[in-house]
Amino acid sequence: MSLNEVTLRERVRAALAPRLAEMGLTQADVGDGMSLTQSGVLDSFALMELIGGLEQALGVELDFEAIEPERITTVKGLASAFAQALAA
Amino acid sequence: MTEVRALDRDAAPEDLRAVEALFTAMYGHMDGLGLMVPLAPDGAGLWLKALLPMLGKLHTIQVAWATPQPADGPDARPRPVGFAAGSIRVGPAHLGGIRSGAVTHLYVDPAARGAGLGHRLYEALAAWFAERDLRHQELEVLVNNEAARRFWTSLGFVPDHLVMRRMPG
Repeated sequence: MSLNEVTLRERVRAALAPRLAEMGLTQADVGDGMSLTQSGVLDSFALMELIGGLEQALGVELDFEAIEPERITTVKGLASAFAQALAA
Repeated sequence: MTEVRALDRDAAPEDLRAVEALFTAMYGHMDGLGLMVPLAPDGAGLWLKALLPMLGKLHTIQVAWATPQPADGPDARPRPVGFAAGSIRVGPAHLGGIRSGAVTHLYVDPAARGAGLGHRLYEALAAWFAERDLRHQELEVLVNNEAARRFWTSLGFVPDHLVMRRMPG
């Protein structure tokens, strides 16, 4: 795993922080590999809001046609997808 | 005697299986009332697996446990005869980001009905919501489930959205 991906996980977690606070959760409640949608942390709309905010902050867009939808429902998967998009 | 208490994340496998059986029975009941999207073959297991990591945090499953009778034998354990599941939901920012308590499921075994277990299960859910300051509550009910609609109306719920589907084929 590149350092960039570690940084990106932190960026994803920072973007997720307000949502976790609203739900009374802490970062420790959410594992890097836990599905944010299956667990109920995010619904599909909130996931898109999160991704949109990250795209804007990082200045890059994800190619949804090339990404398995399930892959971008975890902190780890989102960081990896953004790392790939930034490297492209 | 029936006790209502929350299902723990580290519940015994047989208790998890009993709740899954109630979940499947609930879908069987709804199938008979015209449910259009059926439960997947391992739907109950998938549902519980999805909830367990956040059980007690984002979700709760309140279970009605029937106390064993002498005829059940000396090793008999309390048996789940109904359950109610609820989740914390946060609406999108453009709708005010309302935090709500969603009643996602409530079901009582037909043999255990008529003793007010549905009300007790809902009260347990409502208490869990109140502890988290979730004053807005919401739920979905099958259009054809007249008994459920009367039940929820009696508890102060009013109709809002109607979900409509256009099925393939």
